[in-house]
Amino acid sequence: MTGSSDKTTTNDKALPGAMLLGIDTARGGRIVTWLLVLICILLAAVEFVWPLHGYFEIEDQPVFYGWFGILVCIALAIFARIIGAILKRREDYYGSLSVSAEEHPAFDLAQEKADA
Amino acid sequence: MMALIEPHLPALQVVIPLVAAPFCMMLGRGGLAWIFASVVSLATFVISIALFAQTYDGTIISYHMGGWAPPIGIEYRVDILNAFVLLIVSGSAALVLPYARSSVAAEIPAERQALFYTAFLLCVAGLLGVTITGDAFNVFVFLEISSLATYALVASGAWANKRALTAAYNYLIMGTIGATFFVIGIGMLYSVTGTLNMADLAVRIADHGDSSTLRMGFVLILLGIGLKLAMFPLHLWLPNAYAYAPSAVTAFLAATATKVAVYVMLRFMFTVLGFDYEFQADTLRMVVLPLAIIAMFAASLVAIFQDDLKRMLAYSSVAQIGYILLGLSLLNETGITASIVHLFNHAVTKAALFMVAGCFIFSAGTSSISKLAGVGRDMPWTTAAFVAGGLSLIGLPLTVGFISKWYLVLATLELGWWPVALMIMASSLLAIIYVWRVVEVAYLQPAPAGVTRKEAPLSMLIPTWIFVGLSVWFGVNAMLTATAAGRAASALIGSSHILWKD
Amino acid sequence: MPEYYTPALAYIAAALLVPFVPKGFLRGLYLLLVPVAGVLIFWGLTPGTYNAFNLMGMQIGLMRVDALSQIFGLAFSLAAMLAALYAWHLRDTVQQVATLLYAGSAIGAVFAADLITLFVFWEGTAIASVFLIWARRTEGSFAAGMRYLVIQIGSGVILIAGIVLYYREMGTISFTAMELGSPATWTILAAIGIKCAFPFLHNWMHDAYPSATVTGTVILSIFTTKLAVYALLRGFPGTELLIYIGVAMALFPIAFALLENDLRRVLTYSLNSQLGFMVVGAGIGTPLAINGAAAHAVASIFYQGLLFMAVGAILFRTGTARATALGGLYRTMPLTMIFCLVGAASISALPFTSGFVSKSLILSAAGYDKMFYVWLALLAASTGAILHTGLRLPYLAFFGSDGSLRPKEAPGGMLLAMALTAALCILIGVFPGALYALLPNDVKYEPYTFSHTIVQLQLVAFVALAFAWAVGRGLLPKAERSTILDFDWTYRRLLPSIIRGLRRLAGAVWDRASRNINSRLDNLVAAVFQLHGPQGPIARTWPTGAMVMMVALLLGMTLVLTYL
Repeated sequence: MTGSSDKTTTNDKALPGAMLLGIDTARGGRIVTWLLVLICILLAAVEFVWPLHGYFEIEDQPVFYGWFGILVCIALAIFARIIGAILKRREDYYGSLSVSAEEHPAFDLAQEKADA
Repeated sequence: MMALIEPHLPALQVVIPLVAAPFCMMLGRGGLAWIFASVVSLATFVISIALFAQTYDGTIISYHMGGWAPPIGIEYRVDILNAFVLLIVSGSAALVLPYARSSVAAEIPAERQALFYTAFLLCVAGLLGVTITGDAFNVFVFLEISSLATYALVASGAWANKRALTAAYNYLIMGTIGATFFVIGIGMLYSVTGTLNMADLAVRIADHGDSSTLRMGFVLILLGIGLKLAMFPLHLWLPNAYAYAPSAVTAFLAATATKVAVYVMLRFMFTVLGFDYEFQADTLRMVVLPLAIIAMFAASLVAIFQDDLKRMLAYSSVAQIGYILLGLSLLNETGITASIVHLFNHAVTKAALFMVAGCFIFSAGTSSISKLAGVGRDMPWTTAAFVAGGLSLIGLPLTVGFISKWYLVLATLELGWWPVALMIMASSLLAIIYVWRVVEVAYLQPAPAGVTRKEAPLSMLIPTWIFVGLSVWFGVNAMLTATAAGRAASALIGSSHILWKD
Repeated sequence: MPEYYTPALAYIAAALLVPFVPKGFLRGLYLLLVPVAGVLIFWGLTPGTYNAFNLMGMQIGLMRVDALSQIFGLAFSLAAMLAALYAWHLRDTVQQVATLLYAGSAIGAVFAADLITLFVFWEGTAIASVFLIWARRTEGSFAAGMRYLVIQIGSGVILIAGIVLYYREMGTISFTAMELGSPATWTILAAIGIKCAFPFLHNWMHDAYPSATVTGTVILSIFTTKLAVYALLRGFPGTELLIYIGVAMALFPIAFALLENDLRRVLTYSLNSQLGFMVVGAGIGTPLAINGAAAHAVASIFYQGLLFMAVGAILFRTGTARATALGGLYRTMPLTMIFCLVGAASISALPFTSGFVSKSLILSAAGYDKMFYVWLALLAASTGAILHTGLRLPYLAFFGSDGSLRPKEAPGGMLLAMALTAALCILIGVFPGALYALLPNDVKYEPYTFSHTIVQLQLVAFVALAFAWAVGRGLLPKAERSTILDFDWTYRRLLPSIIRGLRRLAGAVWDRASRNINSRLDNLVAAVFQLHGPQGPIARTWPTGAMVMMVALLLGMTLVLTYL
């Protein structure tokens, strides 16, 4: 995992979400990925045991939804990169006429009791 | 109890404020007189609501004063048209009086306030009397009662600005000339027909047919009332009278005085006088119509250049009266509907706007537009009321101003006079300019350093916002007003003896 | 029942009273109860049009109760209630009043039986909602709100123009299914298209929604666009063009959603894509497709709302919704994370969530009609939704690189609102019968066939695998502090610069011409001023004698007429 911190401090252990600690480490990522591989294999296997029915011929291809999903993901990732290369600008591109570059005003944040 | 009162409602409508006036005078300093006047005006308002409800379906109430049958006795005749106008007058009075408390306290010395409220009640009585009576001479009498009271009311602005005296004096001269014309006109009608009861007059004039005496009478009544309702160019008394009168008086007069005069005009032009269609229609179309259009533009242009908010609104009133006169001089049913509905719509809008001006005078001490810079921040509610009222003045959809202009444009298009329709729209653009000027100064210019202005008191704000609310409510849902105006217009046409019969 | 009764009335009346209810517990409770009052007005009414009356010769109907209006009315009311709960902590009267007016207008529009009423509430939603943006009270939000207002009001103006044309053509203003073909119907469709964020008409949404307050964005996401979907279902069912528009709409926002850094903007793009599904449903127009569009609108109100709520909670606690600043929040906001994942699962159409049972209807409708490419495109768009909102958004916010933020968990009101919305998403998914029973058309449909459940699981699992793999290799487009240009660039940058250029060009020509014209114009204004200015003869205070002279003159002239 890029840029994630592998350190778990004792401080974090007391946090409410401590149960999941480590999921964002490289090791956690690997575990999740292998789990998903397992699930995918199981789901693909189902298809060969109990044949599925769809609306179109193409759905009769083996594991159509699996490879279609992956293909679309690849295509989208590439497409998004192209779009990004063309259309990405500085955050303050529109200057003060846009909220992109400004901070969210403090009165609207974390105020549970105070008047706006 | 109710059964006892109900048949006498038409008489009570006028008698209550008329009799109350002298009592009001005896109530010493301000507060008590104010409460008394408010209660009385509220009572008259309730009565006119009752009358309106009774006549809404087209019923005509004929009330014989003192039990003397017309045409000998004086008849009070209430149909939907004058019930509608009664509602405007008494409603305005009932809303202006709560507003007047603070405003008057600031503008008139305490020992004179009882007299002020007395004059106010007399004025209300007079206006209601003009509207309700079915007797032509009685119209003159009540017109004089209301006018005399109005002169006094305008003059009472003198404690704030001495010019109110000359304004009142001018108004007095002009008003008296108008009344004189009117009474001479009535006299001529009487000399031909021998009766003063309006319904009776209508029948006899129609029977008598065309004659030069009737023509003279027609012209004199037209001009006499034209003076009272500030028909351009007879409006010259109006700007100063409105500008220098106390704020509450201005709001009340702007909402009612000219409206009642328009009612008299409608009544005489369409019901009473029916001797020669050609002549009457030509006079209205060749004299009143062009003057109305000129008023729409000339007065709006003047309003653009005015610095004093009240004077600006006064000139805008002259322009708005142009719309009303235009509607009635189109001589079709939609046009008259437009005029009648605009009576109400303009009354509501202008009352709200003049009340805003009063709030500015009360809190900021000035009605000069240039001195109101940045007032939108200090007096947000007052300024917002001005914006809402201004939008109605312009005629934006969802305000009453739009309803009036809608009917007016419709009426011109019915006749195929689309250039006139375009002129109506063009003159609305002028209204945008003069309203915008104030909005710009109030919101976009910074307040001068060191000036602090408090928001106007609630007693002034609430009546103002009620008028604003009405101007939006009846703009969104014009059912009640449009139906009433439509029925009044068809009643007026139905009662006419010559027009519409071709 | 009184003539002017409509659920909108309850909201408007309630909005007027808000300032008089003390802030805090009472105010919160009050705002929660208003939607209940609104529902009571239409609950249990037998289908039909109520409260019809005649206005200037046109038949106005404030309350048309049928299955279509009821399901939208119900969903809006429920969403308004959840939003009120979500905003329990809020102490801003402006936003509270605006919310009520906005929700009331939207619900009023749904029950409108005629186009005029629709128009009034249409503009009502525009005007009320802008205050949720302006309530942020910054320069940027003011500008964004202004742009939003201009476009939304523009939509209303186009709508009323269309209505006028329609009235002239058909002689009626009743709001029923229309045939696309005349200028009138094209105009009306354009007006709806703006509110529905059709491609190239969509920018207001991505510009304005992320510019609102924390709670404002959640509320905005509920009403405007779904109202437009309702209008399409009512006015243009079975219009073929809508299928293509919908497909384009479902596809194009995906790339933007994958690139955006502002998570609230990611969600507006994903919302836009989901709207595409509904538009396709309206376009196919079979009973099943209409059901699908309505069901998907309802489901999307809740799961999209839930996602906006979760991101809002993050913004509320951390002060930012930028992906670059976030990450690793699962440590301290685990509940928010769980709710967000429920929303993510729903939008991914995972079986046993609301997205599954509603999206299936639309895809099946395309399938039954053998529209292969439409079906394929929608499947691709579903895949995109799994990717950008189902996976990327929770990943960036709660996992991903640790942004070292350790905020508190969201406040109670937000948590409760999210919990209820999440429960709703799952309940609809597990018991689709309840939702299906409310749908406008009586069509039997079973989402949980074995094949369908398995293939959908396959799709989600394989996409998740691809995502996990890409994350491990760093292959995903990176989130960066940036602005992704969209079509609004044309009117925010291109158009102004063209105008500037033209102005410079014209300036030279104008300068020469204007010197000439100016002097003439000056003369004209001077003449007008001379006549109408404060000292001009028309505005001057005249001596009494002169006034009387005027009277005499007029009298004389009129009398001359007498003897002509």
